[in-house]
Amino acid sequence: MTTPFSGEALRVTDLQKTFGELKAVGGVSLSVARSERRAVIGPNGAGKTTFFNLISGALKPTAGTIEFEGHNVTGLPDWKRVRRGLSRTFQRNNLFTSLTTFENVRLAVQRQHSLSYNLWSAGKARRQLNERVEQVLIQVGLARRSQTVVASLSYGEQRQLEIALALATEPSILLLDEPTAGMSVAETGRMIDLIKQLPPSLTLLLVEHDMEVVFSIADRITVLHLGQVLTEGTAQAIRADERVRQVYFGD
Amino acid sequence: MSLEEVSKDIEAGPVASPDKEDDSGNYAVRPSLPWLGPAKWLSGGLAVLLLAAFPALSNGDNFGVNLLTEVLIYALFALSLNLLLGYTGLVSFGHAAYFGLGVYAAGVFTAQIKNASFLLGLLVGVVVAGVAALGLGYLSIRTSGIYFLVLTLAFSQMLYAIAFKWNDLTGGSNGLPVLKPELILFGWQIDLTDPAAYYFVTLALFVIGFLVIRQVIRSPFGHTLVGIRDNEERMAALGYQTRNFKLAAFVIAGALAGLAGVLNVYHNGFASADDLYWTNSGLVMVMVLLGGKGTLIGPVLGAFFVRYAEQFIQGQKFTLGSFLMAERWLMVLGAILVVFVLFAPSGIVGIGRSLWRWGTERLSVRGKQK
Repeated sequence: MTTPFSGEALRVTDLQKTFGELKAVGGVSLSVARSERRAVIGPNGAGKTTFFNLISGALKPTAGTIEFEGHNVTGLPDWKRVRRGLSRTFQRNNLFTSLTTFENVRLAVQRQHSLSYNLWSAGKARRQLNERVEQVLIQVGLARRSQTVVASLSYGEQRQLEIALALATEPSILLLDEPTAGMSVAETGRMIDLIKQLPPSLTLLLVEHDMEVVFSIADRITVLHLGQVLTEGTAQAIRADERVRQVYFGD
Repeated sequence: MSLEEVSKDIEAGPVASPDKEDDSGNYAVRPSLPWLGPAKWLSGGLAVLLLAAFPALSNGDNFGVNLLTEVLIYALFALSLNLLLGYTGLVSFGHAAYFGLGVYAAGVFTAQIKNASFLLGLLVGVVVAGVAALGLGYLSIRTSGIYFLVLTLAFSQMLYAIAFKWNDLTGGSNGLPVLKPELILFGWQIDLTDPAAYYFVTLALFVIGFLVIRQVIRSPFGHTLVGIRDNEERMAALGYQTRNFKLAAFVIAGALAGLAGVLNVYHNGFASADDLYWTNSGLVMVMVLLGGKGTLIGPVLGAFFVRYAEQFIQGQKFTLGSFLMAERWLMVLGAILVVFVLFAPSGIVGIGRSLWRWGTERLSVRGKQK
């Protein structure tokens, strides 16, 4: 615990990650306020995905610190960060494909209800578990698909389930890794609606390629380029920024 | 769909659906197997009744009773491996270690103590196997895939080498004769030298072991294991410390394999280093695969199939060229395994499922035509 909680959800200080000779993330600092909707964008190879994996705990940084609600979480493994309220989705669907939609979400909820070691699940705990699973499914619009095996869901529905799994861990900050990757226009529209309907208290950190998605969701945008922060500002400011245009479209 | 409909959906959902007896890892077929739940209860009850009646029906056929005792012991052994192989996705190739530890722990205990009690021997065997699984499992689960397989194999072969060489304790290559222990239940002395009596004790412990495994895989803990089998990375992203769950599964499986080992040593009256040898790990893995991994009943069917097929083949007189088939059981087993792996990867249970689906579909079509 280095700094007292200051309304910041996330503070990243001089974060670095090198793979051999390659400096994928070369000293990124940023601060995300509570209940802010922040997007991180950048052209291919800007280090977005590496940055994302450092925040979620999937990768260990070479240097720098990550503070989550005032607590230093730099050394914590991913599963401990989730328990603190920092949850992620995956860019490529990463689900339990042989299980039903219901069973997928139940895995997340039973961990949250501390039932995962139980060899017996009694009536009341089981009812509460099932009710919570159903709540989450309604929230993301998958209640109808409750009993469908995940492998037979449509791609868009699987993306929705990605979000449902992360939400079921009751995060205070949700990391979204390209939530609309590979989606049709109609599906993208539904996903934007879904993200906009998330509770306002939830902090969002979004990595996304699709500028329409970014501009319709994000309050503030951080632009990464060659592993460093190029600029940061409101959607309008970023839209107008000449340097951002240059790195995206060349001269 | 309204909220009420949704909540009805839930009540009829995975908790109380007609398919709740479906323990298979193959959830894709759900809920397409009607009446399978009641059918399973009925056939399970009948099977236990038939097994219980076998000594009376076979009328003094000690060979048959002894063979069936051995089958039940291996069915229990296979059930324990399936918890790892089928439900947790841990391919252990050294599961004979825990079976063998049950054998030697109970064997040495009984050989050292006069008038040893069966229940105490059972406890010693299960505890030794469980504690060993805790230690060796702690090291093994730090690896995965092929490294896990090789490490579990290495541990079991180390135990085999110890049992083979430590003459003073284990009898080394000669093995260790073990007298039948005493069993007194509720003041009633049971003579375990009577094959039928020993068979009943084995059957009772098999049924208990089966119900324990069934409870484990249907519990939230069991769901966690299946989640790890399906996608361990995502489990971590849901806040699971997956290693501890894998270790817990390893200990439960090791203790149950130890139970099977204890039953085996008192059945044979002899502890042999072969019980620890890697071929024993291979045999039980073949039973799980032929029966159907990741299904509750699969390993049991696999054990019955392998043992009785062996018996059948070894009773055959015909020759193939200069081969006497009776002496070529392993060759036949190999051929059967190849056919299953290629054409019926879900094992006997998979074949049964297909037939059931086909049959019930035919019935429902006929019902509609009327």
